[in-house]
This record gives sequence, structure tokens and C-alpha cells, in this order.
Amino acid sequence: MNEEKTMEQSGSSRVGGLFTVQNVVTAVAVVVVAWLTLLPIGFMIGETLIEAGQFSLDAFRRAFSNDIVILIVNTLIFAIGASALSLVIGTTLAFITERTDAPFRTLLFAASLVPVIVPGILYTISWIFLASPRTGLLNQAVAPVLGSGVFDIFTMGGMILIQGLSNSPLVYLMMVAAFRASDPSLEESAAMSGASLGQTIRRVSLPLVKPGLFSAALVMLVLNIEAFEVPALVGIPGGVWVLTSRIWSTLNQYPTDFGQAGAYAICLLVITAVGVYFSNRMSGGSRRYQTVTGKGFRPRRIPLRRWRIPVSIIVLVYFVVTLALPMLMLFYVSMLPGYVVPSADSLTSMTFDNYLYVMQHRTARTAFTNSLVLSIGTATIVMLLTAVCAWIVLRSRARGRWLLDNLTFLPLIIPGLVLGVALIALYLRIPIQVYGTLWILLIAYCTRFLPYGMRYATTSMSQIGIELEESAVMSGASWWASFRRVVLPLLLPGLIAGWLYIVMTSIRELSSSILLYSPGNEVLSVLIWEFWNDGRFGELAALGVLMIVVLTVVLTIARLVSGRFGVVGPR
Amino acid sequence: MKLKKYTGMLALALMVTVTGCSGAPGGDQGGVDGAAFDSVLAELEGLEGQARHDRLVELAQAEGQLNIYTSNSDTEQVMDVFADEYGIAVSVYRAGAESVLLRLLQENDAGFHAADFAEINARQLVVLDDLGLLQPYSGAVLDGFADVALYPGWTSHWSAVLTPVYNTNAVEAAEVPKTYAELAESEWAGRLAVESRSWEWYASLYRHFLEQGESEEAIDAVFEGIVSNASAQTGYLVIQQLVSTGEYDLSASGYAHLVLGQAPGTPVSIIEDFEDPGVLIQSGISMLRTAQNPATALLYYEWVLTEGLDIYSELGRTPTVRELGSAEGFDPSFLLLPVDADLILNEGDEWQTRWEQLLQALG
Repeated sequence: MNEEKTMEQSGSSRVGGLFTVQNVVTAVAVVVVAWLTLLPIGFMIGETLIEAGQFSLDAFRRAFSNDIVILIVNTLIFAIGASALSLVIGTTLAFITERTDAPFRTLLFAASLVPVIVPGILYTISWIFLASPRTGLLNQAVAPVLGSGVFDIFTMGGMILIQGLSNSPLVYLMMVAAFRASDPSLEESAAMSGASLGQTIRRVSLPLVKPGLFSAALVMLVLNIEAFEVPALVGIPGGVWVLTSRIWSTLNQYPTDFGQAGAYAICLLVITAVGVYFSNRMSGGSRRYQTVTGKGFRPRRIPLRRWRIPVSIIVLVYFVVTLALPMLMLFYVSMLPGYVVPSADSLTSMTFDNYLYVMQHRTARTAFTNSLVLSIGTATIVMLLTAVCAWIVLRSRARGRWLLDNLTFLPLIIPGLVLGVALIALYLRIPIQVYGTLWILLIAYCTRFLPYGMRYATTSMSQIGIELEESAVMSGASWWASFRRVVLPLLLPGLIAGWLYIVMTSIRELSSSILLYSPGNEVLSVLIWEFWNDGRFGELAALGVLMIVVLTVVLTIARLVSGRFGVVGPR
Repeated sequence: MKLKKYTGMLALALMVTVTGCSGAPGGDQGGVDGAAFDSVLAELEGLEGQARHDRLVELAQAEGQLNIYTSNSDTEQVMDVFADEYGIAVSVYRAGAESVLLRLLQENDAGFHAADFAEINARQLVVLDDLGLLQPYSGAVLDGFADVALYPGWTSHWSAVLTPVYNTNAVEAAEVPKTYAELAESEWAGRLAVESRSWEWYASLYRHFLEQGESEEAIDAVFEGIVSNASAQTGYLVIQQLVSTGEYDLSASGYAHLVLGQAPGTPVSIIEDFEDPGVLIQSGISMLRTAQNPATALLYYEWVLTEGLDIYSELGRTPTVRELGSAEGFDPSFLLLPVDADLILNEGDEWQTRWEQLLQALG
């Protein structure tokens, strides 16, 4: 059978053509993705709705009789507030970098590394040291002028600030890409036609990057709704509860009401799904603005003139607040036997003891290896799987490919904690021996990062002309040969970029890991969490500093290597 | 002075805890199958002293492995000594005490038996014991142990006392509180921390005040005052660190042993002449009936209650069993309340809910 026909007719159920390589690969991909995504969700919904063998809404009743309304409202305020903050900061700075002649633009790129190399839990803890009401460095600094306790990080505002700042570099990266892809000649035309700078930005620049803006908004909303570190470390002490922190506390109580935790989780799932739906609808409506022409252009930079100094100050402040201060704080804490407010005395009592402790800590070494193995394993599996999925969704005519498309994005709406609970319940009951091993963590990570891999893979796939594949098939290559020798090599830059992104983000994963680790299978983020709970602030900071140094080195090497493949990754 | 004081505190605690404790453990229970233990015990039948110990070591070394679930941050240092001494590999799952309990229950429900040995607090051990998941122990090692340390399925190896701790730089000598009622006063607003999951502490004190003849309204007013003055942080260790950094002036429920073991110059102290009782939190060790390495679990159990206690002492912990009767230096104004099994099993839910509601309403 001619392979070209197979490509065209894939999914046509002629018995003779049923077991082609393409069909088998498609089937395997669908089964793996369905296994990763549907099983845990189905299991969780089952546990919540079926009590004592019968359908029951009791779990919801218990959850609703509690404080569900406050939890939902808080979750929304937190997620929307933090998303808005990230979007405003990230977009403004991306505009400054890409469209103006502002100085210090390299500092913005340095700050954009924050979400890539600094685990959320470390960033949160750094901010606790910076802005806790009484001992926070910032409060100490302004106390002589403004009085004590000006900043209180243990509030909703504090939570939004940390979460918003920590994700703003991610928006920045996405918006820099969006600004680069849009043709500045339209802005020039507007300016030529007499529009002021404000009018140009409002009526031309922003509409041009609307698709990018919406997709950044979607990612922010999803990340913030399921955020765990900030709600747990800052929200709980401040008495500001959101759904994730309530799920965590429900799971940590005896007798544990799994049904109630499940009911909270389903609320979270619904909120996320609604957010994703609206975000997709809005971005769908904005496609008509898209003007990616592909023709070469050199962005003209708007001269800032008298705004140069204020804008420079904004850039500097941003760099100091998002990157320099938290990192310096972490380093400072790592050098002290016990945290004290910075002073001449404290600076002289600095030692490397905490670093020695960490280096000799047995679990630290294991955790480091595990984190590395897991993140590399996850990234490799996810990118290979999503490369196949992207091909099926975009190129094949397989029936039900829409289903595969949606399945790969499903994990976006499953919070890490919920996934952890579902996987424990699931793998303790089915005869696949992964519970208590590193494999269950790998499964969790692959599930969690599947949507991000899919995004990278589909973007790259859509950029490859179908003609190349068709030529290969016309020249007699089988589907598998054309996929392996034409599609994959062309996809490689996109796949490597996705691979790097997943390596960097999965190494920081906490919310699933905290439930799934077992002896010998600890990971770095869990160790940091344990150090915090033991009050080992100095050791925690030392581990954090080491981790950041290693990740920075890894990222630099990866950029150097991947640059040779033409990868445009995080800069 | 602090050491003596603390020793005295424990001594009294142990004496008053006798109520509610059953006698020496022994006999079989319901719950899960403990066949593996039965065969180890059969092997040791009729042996005594060194001969029994040697045989147990042989059996343990044949197993070669021990899996411990613990909430104790010092376990690794203790078990390392054991591992070196007997050449047995020890793996540790470490998490919060409640997480350890939940994991054990979840695994047991699913018939997955990874844990041989659990080291957690009384509050969790009582639950496991009630469900019949713990292996009863009645070996010679317990001879001379006070009843307070002995429970059917577990033994308390060390104990901690929850009592207010304060930052000595932030609280003037004159304003150091002597009672919980003082902490409810407005001058403490914004200066206090309470532990968000410490319903045992709340329940024990509440019941104590009731027994003292105080009205519920008066007691409620005290706790409402304390909670509205306080931030609810999670984790005693975190709170104690935050007291030492000066973020909080005082923690209503600090660990006395942490003050004892802290680095010289740390500005944190217990209140020597505090008039209200401290609350005793016992830590205990237990063997899971479903242990895959029962002989090693048994060897470790006996080793912890003998040699292991010395290491715990060196680490600043106070062994429950050893300090009994050593009332030297005890300040009689300082009473201690035990947390009892009855409270945990039968009233736990209610107190937990009350404490959470209090925090949500006022925290």
C-alpha cells in the first residue's frame, strides 16, 4: 500500500491498512496520553462522587458547608490579581526592550531568568525574609521614615506581589517573542499619520500582540490558580486561604476526608477549565489581528528622549526587586548560623557552615541526582511523545485527533497536589509496581508537563511546510522514515527548546512531589520544604544558592549547545 | 538551670501522665496479620540476655534492611549509628507526623507494606494502635520503665513540652507573662504566634482550666484573646526560628527542648516561672505488624530504648523513661498536662474543629 495514501487516509478503517506503523504509533500515543491524563482525573472524580459504593454528593455538601465561598473568592482574587500584575509588568518591560532605546535592557534578560532558575519555594521564602512585617529587610529599611510594619507579606496583597513578580519574567519572555513577531512598520505608519505614542501603543502595538497577550494570560491564570508555594508559606500564616492550601490542609488531617479534598479539587478544576475556555475564546477572536509576515524587518526603536531617565529607573527597580534583592537575601541567609536582621555584626559572623552541612547531607545528594534524572527523563519522554501527538493532530486525518489534542492539554487544569493524591490512590490499587519508586514521580511529571511540551511541539510543527514531508513520501519513504528523517530533524530546534523548558521547570516541581516521594526518592524541592519545616533557614538558603548556581551553569551550557541547533529558547 | 528545670518538668509530667495508661504491653490484638513477627518471636523463644540478642542480630542481619517512617528530624543521626553497628541498611521516609500517619494508613488500606518501623508522636501512634496496626512489645528492655512510657503497641522514647517561649531582646523582663490569660491582653496584639495545627495543646489546656473550675466563657475569652493577638504559623520549629529572628516576640506554644539545645547566644527563652501548665508531647517508636523486616524492626526497637536513648540525649532530646523520678531542680509552680489517648481518639475531631474555627474566626 502506498504510504502517501496512508497519510491521506489514516484512520480509514480498512482492515489491511489497520496495522501500519503510523496507526500503531498513533494508537500508542493516544493510549499513553489517555492513561496519563484521564485515569487520575477519573479516579479522583470517582473517589469524590462515590461513597460507600453509591453515588453521593455528600463530599460537596461537606465542602460547601465549610468555607467554600471564601476559598473560591480568594482563589479568584489571588489568581486574577497575580496574573494582572505579571501581565502589566511583563508586557511593559517587553515593550521597553523591543520597541524603545531604553538602556539596561540586558538587565531585563537577566531578570527574565528568575522563573527558570529560581524554584517557587525559594523565591517565596526570600520574600518572607524581605518583607515579613517585623524583621523583613524592606520593613527595617523604611522603618525610620515610615514607621514599622509598612510591608506585610502575610496578606492577600503580599501573596499577589510575590506570585505576580515571580511570574512576570515568564510574561516578559512571551511578550518579547510576540513583539518580535509583529511588524513595527504598522506602528511607524501610525506615528507618521500623526498618532501620539500613547495612541500608537493603545491602538496599534497592543492589538498586534493580542494573541501573545491572551496566551500569556492563559498560562498565568492556570499557573496562579494551581499555585501552591505562596498560598502555603505566605497565605496560611496570614489566614488567607485558597483552594490549594485548603486541599493541602485537608490532606494533612486525620481522619482525612478525601472526598472533601476531591470536592475542593473539582472546584479548582472547574475554575481552571472556565478560565481556559474564556481565554481561548478571546484569543480566537483576536486572530484577525495577527500579522506575522515572515519577511525580514529590523524593529525601529522609539527614542525615549526625556522619558529615558524615568524608564531606566523603572528597569533598574524591576531588576533589583525581582532578581537582585531576593537572591542577595538568600545568599545572606545562607551565610549565617541563624537569621538576624542585616547589620555590621551579622556581616562579620558569616560562615560557610550551612554549605558544608548541605554538602554532607545524605539526602541532599540523593535529591540532587533524583531531581536531575527526573527532569531529564521527563523532558525527553514528553518531547518525544508530543512530537508524535503534534504530528497526529496537525498532519494526520486520524479520527478523534481533536480528542488527542484536548487530552494533551487536560493536565493544565489538574493542580499538582490533586494529581499527587490521584496517583497515590490509583497506583496503590492497580498491579503496576510504581508506588514508592521514582517511576511514580516520573509519571506525575510527564503528566504535568505534557501540555507545555505539546505547545512547543505544535508551534514547531505548524512552522514546517507539509511539502517537505510529501516530497519524502513521494520519493518512496515510508511514513515512519519520513517522520524520523524529515519531520523530527526539522522539529528539532522546537523540541530542544521545549526540552530545556521542561528540564528547568520540572526540576522545581513541588506540589505533586511532596505527596509522591518515598525513601531514596526525595527531590530537591521536597528537601527545601522539609528544611523550612525544620526551621533550618540557613541550610535551606545554602541549598537554594547551590541549586541556583548549578541551574545557571546548566542553562548556560544548554544555551551554548542548543544555539548550534538554531534553538530560540529562553534568553 | 534550664536543664534541671526541664528535667523536673518532665519528671512531674511523667508522674501525672500515669492516668489513662494501660499497664505493661503484651498479648495479641486485632488489626492486621502479624505472622512475620510471630515467627521471629518463635525463633527467640526460650533465649535470654546475650544469647537472645545474638540470635536477634543474626535474624536481623539475614534481613539486612530496615525501613523507617519518621517525623523526627534527628532520626538519620540515630539510625546511622545503628546501621554502622550492625551493618544493616536503613532507609528513612521523613515527613510531618500527620503525613506519616496518613501515608501508613493509605498504604495499609491498599495492602502495601513498605514500613517496618514508625517514629511519630503520641497523637498519631494512638490512632495506629487503635486500628491494631502496631506490634505489641513486652521485652526485658522495658523492665523498670515507668508506665507513662508504655502503651500497648508503642513506647515513648522521648518527650517534649509545649510552653511559651519568648525573644529575650524583644520582651522586657517586667512584661514577661506568667499566665496564658496575660497573653490575651491587648499589649500582645501582633506580637504572638500560635501553631496552626496545635489543637492538642488547646484541648489539654482548655480541659485543665475547666478542671480548675473556670467557666467556659472565661476560658473562651482567654483563647479568643490569644488567637486574635497572634499569627497562626504552621510548624513549631518554624515558629521557634521566627521567634529567634524577632518576627514574633513570643510563641504561645514553643518546644522547651529546642531552647535547651539552641546555639549559645540565641535570644530565645522559656518562662521559668510560668504559672500555667505546659503540655506534654510524647514521641514514640513502634513496629508495624506488617513489617517486611520484623527481626530488624525488633532489634532497632530494643536498641533505641537502650543505646539509642544516649544519642537522643546528646541531641538535646529528653528521654521519657530515663528522667522519671529525677525531680531535682523542679519548680512546683510549673505543672504539665499529658495528652491522653482518650482525648485523641474520642474527642480529637471535635477539638480539631473548634481550634480551626477559632483560627478562622479570629486569626
